[in-house]
Amino acid sequence: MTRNEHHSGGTRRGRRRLAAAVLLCCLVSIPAVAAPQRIASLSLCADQLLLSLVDRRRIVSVTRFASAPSISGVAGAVADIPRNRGSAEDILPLGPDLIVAGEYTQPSTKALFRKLGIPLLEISVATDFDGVRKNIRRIAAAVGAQAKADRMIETLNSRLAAAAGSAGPTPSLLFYRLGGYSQGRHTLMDSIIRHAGFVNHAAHALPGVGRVSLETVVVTPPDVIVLGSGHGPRSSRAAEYLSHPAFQRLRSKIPSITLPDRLWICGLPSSVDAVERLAEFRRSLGRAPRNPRTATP
Amino acid sequence: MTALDIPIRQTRPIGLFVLLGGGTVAAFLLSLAMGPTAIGPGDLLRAFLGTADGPTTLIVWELRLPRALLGLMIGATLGLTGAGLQGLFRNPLAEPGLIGASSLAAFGAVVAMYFGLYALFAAALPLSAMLGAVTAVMILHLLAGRNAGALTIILAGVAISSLGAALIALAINLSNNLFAVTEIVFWLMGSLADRSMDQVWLAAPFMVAGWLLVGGTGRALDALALGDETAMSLGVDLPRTRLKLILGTALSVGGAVAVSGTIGFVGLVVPHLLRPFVGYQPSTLLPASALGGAILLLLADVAVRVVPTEAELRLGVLTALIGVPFFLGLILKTRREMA
Amino acid sequence: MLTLRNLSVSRGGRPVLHDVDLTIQAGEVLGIVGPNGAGKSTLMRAAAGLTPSTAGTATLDGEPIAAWSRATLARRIAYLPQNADCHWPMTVERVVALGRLPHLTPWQGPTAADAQAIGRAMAMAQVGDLSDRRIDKLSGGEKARVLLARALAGDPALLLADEPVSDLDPYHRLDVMNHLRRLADDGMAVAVVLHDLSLAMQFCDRLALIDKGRIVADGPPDATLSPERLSEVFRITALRGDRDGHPYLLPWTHDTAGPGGHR
Repeated sequence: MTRNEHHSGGTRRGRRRLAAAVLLCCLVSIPAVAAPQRIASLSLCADQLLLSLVDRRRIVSVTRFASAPSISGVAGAVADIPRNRGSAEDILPLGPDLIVAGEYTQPSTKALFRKLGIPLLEISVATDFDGVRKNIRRIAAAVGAQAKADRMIETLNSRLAAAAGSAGPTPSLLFYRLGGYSQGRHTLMDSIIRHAGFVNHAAHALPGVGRVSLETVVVTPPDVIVLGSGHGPRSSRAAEYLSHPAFQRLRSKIPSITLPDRLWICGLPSSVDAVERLAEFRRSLGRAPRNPRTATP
Repeated sequence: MTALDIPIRQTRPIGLFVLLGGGTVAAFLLSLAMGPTAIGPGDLLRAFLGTADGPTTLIVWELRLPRALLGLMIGATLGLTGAGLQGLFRNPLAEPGLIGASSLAAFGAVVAMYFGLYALFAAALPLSAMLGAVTAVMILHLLAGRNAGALTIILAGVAISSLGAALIALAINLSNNLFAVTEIVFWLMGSLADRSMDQVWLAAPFMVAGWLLVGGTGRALDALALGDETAMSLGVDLPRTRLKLILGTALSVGGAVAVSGTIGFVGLVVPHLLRPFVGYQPSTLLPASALGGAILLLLADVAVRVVPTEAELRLGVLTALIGVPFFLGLILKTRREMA
Repeated sequence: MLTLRNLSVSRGGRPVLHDVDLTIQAGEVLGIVGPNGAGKSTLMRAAAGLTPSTAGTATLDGEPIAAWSRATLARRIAYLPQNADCHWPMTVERVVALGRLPHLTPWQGPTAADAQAIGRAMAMAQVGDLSDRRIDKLSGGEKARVLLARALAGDPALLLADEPVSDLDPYHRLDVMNHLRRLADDGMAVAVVLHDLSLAMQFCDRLALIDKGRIVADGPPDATLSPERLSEVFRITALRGDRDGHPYLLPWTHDTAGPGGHR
């Protein structure tokens, strides 16, 4: 790896210098002259962040997930942008000058681009809103959209603050989706839940993403349930968990809403929508929750 | 020695059945008692009598009971059809998993689920699985003929199983399912986790119908030990017997796989272990294997919940871990006998 | 009892039996003899209703065999194939008990009558003391007797036995043939395929000689096994004699002049 980097060092170093100059220019808010014009994205989250930061004409490729309304917030906006399936072959012919990849993009694909000397920015999965901010800034820096990024982050912060609402007892919320999966500690959903003024029911047992046993849910029921995106009952094994009679029995006694996957699957500015919806839901609960708990910082 | 001096013993080993019956009940109760929530025998009893508290009653009736019932019924199905297939092919290496019936049944279920049929009407799932199982047994019968040698059965079974697994993965991938990998793993490795009574009611009619068909072939299988022609001369209707066995296996395996995914090796291990205790008689082996299969699967499902693992330990994985060394030992033994 | 008329049977497209006329009657031992490949086993199978015929009729008690239900046929006819074996290593007693299957009712186990029949059959084949032994642990001869007992356990009216004594030692050969003789005397119709011409001569009331799928002779043993027949069909010559009025026959020399050649 290092040997390859060394070999193609000449051109890459040149581009790095250019990017540094861009950054410098951004600090004085002058639009960069040599910012990347042919950006390709290998990550659904990057797809959406890019579309919110740059002119769509500078984007040459987005992932095939970008057009799925259930998981992508930009599904309607990418009809005219070529879709890729995550392989280098899809992207190379388009002559990209910047690749934005995700943490879970195939390592071999990322290595290939690095070997070919094409600038590659890797964003990590946002596990809280700090992570969201960090990703916004990093992409903005690479594409020369600092000003826009600052405005986006400002809006994000103010909306988060507004959504937090009143202090007081925090009800427990169980997020339950396909396959009986929930989001525990150190996940974006956990952050969303807490910002909306709830306690994450799964955080106790799950250090990350994982399954929740229906038995334990029945024994210690949450105050509210949030369901993952609607999928037809009997459409898959994973969907059957949601129609399990034990779970239905719980739902008949506990208030619940559904949250579309696209609001939390990627850490985006639009993830605040999820916080706002949950906060609204909390306010609508009216009476005091059954098992009030104080919020953990 | 006159005719009356020769003692004729009981053909049914009563002691064995008492043991197996008791074992089944014990394993069933053990399965009911297993779970992340501590529910003792007292609570279990109260839950069944209707005097336990809300959550306990819900857990026992909607979560533990379906799981235990399915463990019992599916285990019985696998044991029974294993014994039946071994009687039909006169080969101890036949069982629904190995011959690919479970695999193609799972494919049938996959097609029904991921292409919307199951959403339209629930019985489409086990029916489709049944069609898959029938296809597998018929292919095997065509390939292996009447007196299937061990090699033919294994090879044909491997081919059909591999085909089934590949088709399952293909179908799920084509259906654009986000959880594709987990779904594929369920169908290929089997699980009884978080099953509901709905699934018990869905699968039970198919399984019971299959049991009745397979169970009715006991005497024919006994006669078949003497060869096809002698069996016919003893009054066995060979085509009808084959049909009953194939259809019965397909019905019950189809029903089972539709709700649990592929679980293998139970039908191989149980008849083999029990055969010496029933005097190698196929007709007695059928009900014995049903009970033995129920015990084995219930205990395996208990083990799956006891072993602490991060991800869920799949039932099919456990039965394979038990079954494969067994299978290899069986092959070695058969080879030695044939050498 | 069992009559075959103009019966022809083909196997895999090739004709095996041509225009066979044969009657098996109660109270007699019919021996079926002939060289290898003559069609003796096929004849047995056709008589048992196990092989479809391409022409001709087979009737049992006047009714065509095809018209009999499998179950009723099984109660009347017992068939013992060549090289009979039992696939699963069951005990002798269980194997013999299989012969009672045609008589069992669907929901009932064996009755006392069944037990007695099994006992009688085992006594007849002299396998009573092997009752608990596993069939796969027996010698060839013992196994053959057990499987014969199985056939006899069904109390058949007609016994079709294909080479039942080939694996047996001289004592048991004579013993089994004597039993079959007695069964015939008691009213059973017995048809046996035999390779041993001496036994055939000694114990059979009638012999049917079959060659290349056709019955070439049918009648009393010494007439059927005339020197000309022996030479023509078997390509052998035999010593003949008689003892106490019973004729005996001993194959002595074989014809080395080539197929179809005569001395």
